[in-house]
Amino acid sequence: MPDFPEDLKNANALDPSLIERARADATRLVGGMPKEFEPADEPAHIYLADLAS
Amino acid sequence: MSDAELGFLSIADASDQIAKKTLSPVELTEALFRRAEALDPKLNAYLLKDADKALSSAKVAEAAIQAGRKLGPLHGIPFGLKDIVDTAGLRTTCHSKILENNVPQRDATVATKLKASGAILMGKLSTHEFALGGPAFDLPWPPARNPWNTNHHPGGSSSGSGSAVAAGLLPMAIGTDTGGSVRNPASCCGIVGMKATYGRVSRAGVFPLSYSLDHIGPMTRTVIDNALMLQAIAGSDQRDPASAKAAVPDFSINIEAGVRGLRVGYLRHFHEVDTPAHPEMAAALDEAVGILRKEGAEVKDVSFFPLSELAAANRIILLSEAYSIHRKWLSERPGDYAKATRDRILPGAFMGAADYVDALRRRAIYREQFKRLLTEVDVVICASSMDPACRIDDEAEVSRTYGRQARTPFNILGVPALAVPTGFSKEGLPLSMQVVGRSFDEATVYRVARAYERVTNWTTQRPNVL
Repeated sequence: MPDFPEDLKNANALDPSLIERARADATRLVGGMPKEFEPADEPAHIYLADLAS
Repeated sequence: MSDAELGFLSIADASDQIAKKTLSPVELTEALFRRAEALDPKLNAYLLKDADKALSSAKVAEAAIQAGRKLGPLHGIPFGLKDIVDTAGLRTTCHSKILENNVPQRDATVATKLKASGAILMGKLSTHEFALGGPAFDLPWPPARNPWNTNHHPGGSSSGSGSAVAAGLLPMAIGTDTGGSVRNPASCCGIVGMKATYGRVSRAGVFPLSYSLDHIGPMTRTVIDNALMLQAIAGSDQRDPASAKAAVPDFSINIEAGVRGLRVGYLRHFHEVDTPAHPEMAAALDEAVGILRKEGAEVKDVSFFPLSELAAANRIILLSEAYSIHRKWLSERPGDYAKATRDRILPGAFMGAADYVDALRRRAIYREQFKRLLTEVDVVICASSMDPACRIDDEAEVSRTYGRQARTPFNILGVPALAVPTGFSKEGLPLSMQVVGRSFDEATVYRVARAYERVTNWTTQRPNVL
């Protein structure tokens, strides 16, 4: 997970707890998703809509 | 007819009367603007009304129809667009200070298609900021409110679209849906909202939230009207790299065929185990499934992955893509976003590249499994929201109920999902369910929803807005 992104220093100045809340939310979401894969498990082909059928 | 009667006329009935020349598009347009003038100060559904252009378009429609050149069922019918949909020469703000003065040069494809069908654009509708934030009071415009009780949240992010259609200010509106944003306001406001198959409706000219999850959808008061609106906006578009080449069938042709012989899967663990629903919402779902069984459907329980896992994958993809879109503005102008929007987007800054790829890999697994499930049944019924709409000013309750829903799985899966009203809570707030189908089989979804609608009277109930 990325450390404190420089891009967010202005946002952090507005609300000093924002970054910590965002980091905690991200950790919770990533932790909520199973990550057991076979190497051959490819990502969904997201821009080939017809393949959804 | 009174303005209220005109306000709640269905598209199908209005179109019929326009064809018979017993109703003029100009009369209908004027009546809906009068209703908006009277009621919208309480609802905040509109961000911008375009009365001059709408009335001039209505006059053109009327002349064409009088001359025997009626284009189809939407000719002369007013509509509204969520304000993340580009309109040439007409301000498109995404309900954000960031784009307060943005005037696009070109219409979004969905706007072009509706105009080409002869429909009359009335104006631009409220949204949660950039289709994500939540009801916010620190933006240049106030949030939309629920016509069934204006102290309550209308759902979102297509909040103005839900509010305006439910209140009889418009017979149809466009919403967008990345994690449920057509179906949430449809559920909260007691109307019908369709997230069609990914790629079915062009996203060109609609401000993106998450490229791979964004869907554009119709919001109407009845199932038949919804099918008519989808018919006008569906189809391949070279401007959208994700647009599907699949043929567009007639969505209404079998809509009255009933459910006898259809196989309906009841996905009850979403609202019974994974995220236990409000008792009235759960009871309405059971009752709806019972009605479908009585109408001749073969109903059986089905199961899928846990809701929390599906929601996490949706959020990881959505927030990673959304942060990529908003990173520059969040860096340079963070104070121009609502606090709620900053809170919602910023977790995307902390998703790693591998987390994003993992979510896409899970997505492929989910799609394959759901495809398999839909060989056993023709449609799936499940919850939409787990709770009736909460008070709009109760930040804690808005936040608590935000994730208590079962819509995000179907953005990941890309399959069609329709929110349909299933009644009202004791407090008089709408209840709802989803009907979910196979990719590019919106017609069967409508058929099941219509069979249910025909024997219930939920879509004919009207809020007492005055």
